[in-house]
Amino acid sequence: MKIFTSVFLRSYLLQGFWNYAQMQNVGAFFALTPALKEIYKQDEQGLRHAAARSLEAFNTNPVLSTYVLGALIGQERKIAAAPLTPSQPALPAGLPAAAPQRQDEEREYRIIRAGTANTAASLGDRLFWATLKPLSLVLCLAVLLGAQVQILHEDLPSGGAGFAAALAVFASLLLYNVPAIAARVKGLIDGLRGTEDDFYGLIKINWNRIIYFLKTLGQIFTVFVIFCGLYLRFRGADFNAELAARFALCAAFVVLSIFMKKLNIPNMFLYLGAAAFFTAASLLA
Amino acid sequence: MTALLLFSALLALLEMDTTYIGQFLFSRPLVAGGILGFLTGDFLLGLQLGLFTELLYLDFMPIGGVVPPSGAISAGMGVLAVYFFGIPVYFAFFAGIVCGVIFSFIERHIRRRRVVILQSAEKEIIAGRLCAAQLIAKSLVLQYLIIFAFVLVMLTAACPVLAFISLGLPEKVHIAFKFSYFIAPWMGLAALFLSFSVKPKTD
Repeated sequence: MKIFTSVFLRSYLLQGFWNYAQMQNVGAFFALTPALKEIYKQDEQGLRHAAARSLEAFNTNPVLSTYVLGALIGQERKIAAAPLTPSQPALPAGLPAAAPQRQDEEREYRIIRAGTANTAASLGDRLFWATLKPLSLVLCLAVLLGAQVQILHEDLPSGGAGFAAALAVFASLLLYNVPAIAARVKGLIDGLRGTEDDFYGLIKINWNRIIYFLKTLGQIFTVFVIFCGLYLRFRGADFNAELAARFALCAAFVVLSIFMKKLNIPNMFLYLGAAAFFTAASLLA
Repeated sequence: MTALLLFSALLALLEMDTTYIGQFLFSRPLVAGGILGFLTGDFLLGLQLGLFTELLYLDFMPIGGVVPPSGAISAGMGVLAVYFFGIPVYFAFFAGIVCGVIFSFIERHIRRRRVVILQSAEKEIIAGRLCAAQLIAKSLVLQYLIIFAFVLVMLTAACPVLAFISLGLPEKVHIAFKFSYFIAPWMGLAALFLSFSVKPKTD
């Protein structure tokens, strides 16, 4: 239990020494260290080999990294238990098979490391970065606009609505962190107990279904936020030519933003371009 | 000056959450901006700057070796520029975005430097002469100090210049920046809706 807790807590520093050559390798080794010391407490040489293996290039999604760490601890146990001598010739049927060589287990370790890390990276990036993070943002906006906080108005009304705003931020933090912490704990348990058959726990959950459901939820919330935001922004506004022009320009940039997204050009550049364009236009007018 | 140092230290701490420690999303612009806004006495302003920044940065994802502009630095610098120098919020937002972009270049350089350190450290770790915890701890302290220094330099050197310039700018430029600030979240909301697309990409 102590080792489990230690590996779990250390997984939060997985990216503590992120570098372009081996990425999260030092962080992965740091997280695995308590388990490796326990497995190789009588085998100094084995520990050095394990350290060298752990320091090979490593890159995965930090949240689902515990699946990989759990699977690697399990495989290190197999390596430690495997004999160093060449395996015996095939035995007659009915007799227990010879233990695989350490070399075979080490080869298997690298396959598990690469396979689980890539899968966890793909799933974790899609679920946590591309879905839950934006969903928590839209939830925050929905709470703010639902509480009629004029957060999208460029002339922000001062004071008030502090409670609703704090609630919105807190809700967004919870929406991301509760599943993230749960996934880390479950990942370590499933990774440790897992086998090749369930791909070390990674295929126990229907991730695609969860992602699909959350993305659909995100679309619904976003539509609500857009309509609510438009209503609050233009409620009671005096519709005149200037406001119509502002609205039309804003709509044009929204359409442009959609095209930019299709071209994979970040919105930040569009904003910087808009600032430059409006400045030039206003000075020339 | 004490307040400036304290807020810089806090912002540097929040930025550490982006990649290196935890990733609890305290570093997301929405939260970092909110915290700094609350501490500087205008929670909603901090929240708005954070929200707008986050909506603009939605397209960037810290996957693999990608180093996106720092959201915490962008939102935090915006809030602190308004608080300490009275810079109009639309200029502060712009300045924050620029600071976030500049910091991403520094971050890339730091990551490249770590490769050099790693080459010698790896052998030491395998031989048992260096503890991985020590290496990470040193790296984190250095990273923190670099962020702190960056924020402090930007606040003490760049922001006063921007405040001075903004005073002398014609009214038309203010209107242009204010309008850009107004359209930023709407562009972000369009991107947000598309980010929830469930259709697989065809490219």
